[in-house]
Amino acid sequence: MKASTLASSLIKTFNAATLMIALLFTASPVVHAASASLSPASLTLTTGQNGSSVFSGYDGKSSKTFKWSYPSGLSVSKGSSSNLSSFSISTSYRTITIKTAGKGSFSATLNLSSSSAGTYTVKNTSAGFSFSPKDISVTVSSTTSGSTSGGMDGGGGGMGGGGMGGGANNGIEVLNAANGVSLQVRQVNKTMSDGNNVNFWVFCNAGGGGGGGGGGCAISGPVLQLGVGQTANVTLNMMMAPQENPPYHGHTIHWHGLDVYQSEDGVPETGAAVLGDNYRFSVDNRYVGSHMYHCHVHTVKHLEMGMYAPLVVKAVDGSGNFLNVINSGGPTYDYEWNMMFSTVDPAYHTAVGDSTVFADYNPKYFLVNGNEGRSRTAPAETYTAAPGAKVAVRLMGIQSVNTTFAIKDAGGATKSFTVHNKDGYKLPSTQTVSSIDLSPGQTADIMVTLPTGTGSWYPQFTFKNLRNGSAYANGVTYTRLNF
Amino acid sequence: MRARACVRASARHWLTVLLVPLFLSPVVVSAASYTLYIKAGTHTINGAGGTTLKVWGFTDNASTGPMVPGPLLESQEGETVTVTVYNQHTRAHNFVVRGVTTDTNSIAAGSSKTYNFTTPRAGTYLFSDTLNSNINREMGLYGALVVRAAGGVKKAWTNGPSFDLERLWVVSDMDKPRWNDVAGNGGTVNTGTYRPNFFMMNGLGGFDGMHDPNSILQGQAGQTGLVRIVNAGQLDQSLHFHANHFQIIDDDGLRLSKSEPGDTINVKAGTTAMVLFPLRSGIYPMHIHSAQMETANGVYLNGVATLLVGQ
Repeated sequence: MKASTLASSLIKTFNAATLMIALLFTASPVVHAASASLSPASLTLTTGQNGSSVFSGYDGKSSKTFKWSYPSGLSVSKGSSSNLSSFSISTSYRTITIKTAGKGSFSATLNLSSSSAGTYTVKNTSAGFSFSPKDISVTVSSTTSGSTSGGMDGGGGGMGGGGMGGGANNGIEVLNAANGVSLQVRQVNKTMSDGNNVNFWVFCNAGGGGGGGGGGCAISGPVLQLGVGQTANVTLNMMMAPQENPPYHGHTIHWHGLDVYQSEDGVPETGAAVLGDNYRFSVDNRYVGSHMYHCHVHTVKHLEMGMYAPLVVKAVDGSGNFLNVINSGGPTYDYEWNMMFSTVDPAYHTAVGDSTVFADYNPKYFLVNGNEGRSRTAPAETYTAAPGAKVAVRLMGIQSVNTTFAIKDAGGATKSFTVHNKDGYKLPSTQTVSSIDLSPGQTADIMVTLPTGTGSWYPQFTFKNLRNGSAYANGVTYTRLNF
Repeated sequence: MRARACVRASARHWLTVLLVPLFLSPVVVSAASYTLYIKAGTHTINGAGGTTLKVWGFTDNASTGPMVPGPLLESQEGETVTVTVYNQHTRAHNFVVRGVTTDTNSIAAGSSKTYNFTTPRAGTYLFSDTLNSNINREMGLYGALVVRAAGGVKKAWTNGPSFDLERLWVVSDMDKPRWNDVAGNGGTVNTGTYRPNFFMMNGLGGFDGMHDPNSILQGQAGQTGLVRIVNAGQLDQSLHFHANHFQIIDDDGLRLSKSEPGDTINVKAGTTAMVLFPLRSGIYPMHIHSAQMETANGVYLNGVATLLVGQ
């Protein structure tokens, strides 16, 4: 029996004790009266224009190290600084490293510019102590009209020609899967809001910039967009990838929500290669909407480690250009905001193999696009759109507990929205609701029309216990939508 | 593998034969009859990470231990079902078919009770012992009643959507150290804490669930599969189908006139659902997308999982 023969390979007889490998775990920093911030945290430039942001603060008279990564397409250089022991920028790895001198007050100026329109985020990847704001959002608009090339690195076409810049998220790289994407896996250490450090494994664009750089690696890997009828060509490059010992070595990519051939499904137990692979597939109009991709090796750990990212199927016109429509034949939108949400149980990040740790899930951190956002004033992400615009919000749930999404205005009133797709499939009729529940592995595509005046809304995610639906401690993650 | 029991009184069959010529009616009212025994015993999950749990369960065989899940009860729309339950355990239990029967009174230890009910709506139902703050259900006292369209036609309900293949997935969870070990030894469970470490597909860990012909949905590619899902556990379960998008046709007894599409369905604890889909060529897993539910006490893929096999 074919099925049972294959299934029999699922049985793991390895002794978990032989699988134990020690993962580096950085001790929690002690937070004194140290503080720091980036100012401004948001820059609006035109192509070729220079801007700057200053990182400054007080290091508690103890030397501290801070690191950021930035996407390709953005140029970053050093400006003036004070009381630092080192200040370096790697243009090949697209990283910024600042080590303070332990003298107390310090400052460092970062000069920023880009020749391509788009939204870029300089993302903090590690910090000597918790601080905010810690990322810089750089919005670069084109000085010439009619540009059709995607602003994001390698994106092609993804930005559309809408003029309002409907396209990318804040800082998350957007790639066209049909253009030949190479992904690699890298370890990223993130300082959480309570000061603890957690190691993540993330998909990174291996083809950006100088090649093989691994810069711009972020939790929630690059957004892959795929046009209907176009053939995805995605390679998983395993070089230098962090991994577990056998039988859970290697990685794959599973195209969650796409009905692909078994050979492309990314499941080792049904034949997928785990030491690197090239994936090719295409989809039809039914799939226009939000899906996800993630590693399917020892999923209980690898998915938790951060090996996930958005996968968005786009409708196309007769020339193959992406259309900003919510589903095939559906309404157009001016902006699309990808929000992938996830949960983190730090114990899963250090456990390996068939550990009993994996029998019990106790999430401590609740992420949207890789960031915590425990209050309105410290949202996981801030997105900016024009007043009156139609915004598509793509909700992608890779969390391990139930989640309820809702949108509140500045006064706390609930704003209703319209659900168009579930699991990347068009609903038989749209649903206008005040909240939506998404269980682990589900997606939804919703649309809202913003008020004509300026203001802010606060889309929020409440993470709930699978037993009784009660919210977890610190289980509400806020985002912010400015208009 | 324990054989799934579907014991029906032989009387039902000759009644059917007898009634048709007598009344010449298109609706044949017949009856199904079951005898169940409630017992304490053990339940084993095979494979790495597996274990033997103390359980309380239903069985249809007076001389065997409990079955987890209990025997499958089957009927058709409009039938009368008789279930006699002998409580052979040392504490009180009951027998409630959710949405069908209303008698929640207990059956005292050592006594029995007979339930008669009709099954007017085709669908998938959870039966369980509803007593003792969910402890009795968690301990294994649960199973499924499947009510098919009249005449046994392969439709989800009379004049409902057609299917070629069907499977029943009773999914569940157990907290061995805090619930089964404690209740099974006569202790008092602290129901405030529930951290299950075993997750089952039709009572099996995933290693068996991916071999089990009663769990694997296997057929010709393009055939329409109907999956009946019963979450008899205490946690909501989010079932992800690889490469086989489905339509949800029944959400906990609510027939959806405009069925919703999906690849992942959240079946809340104690509820049911039915999904329908054309089986795709290839071998694909179906598993729960919540981290720990893929494991048996932490061992990967020995949790809630099975396969979808299109040839």
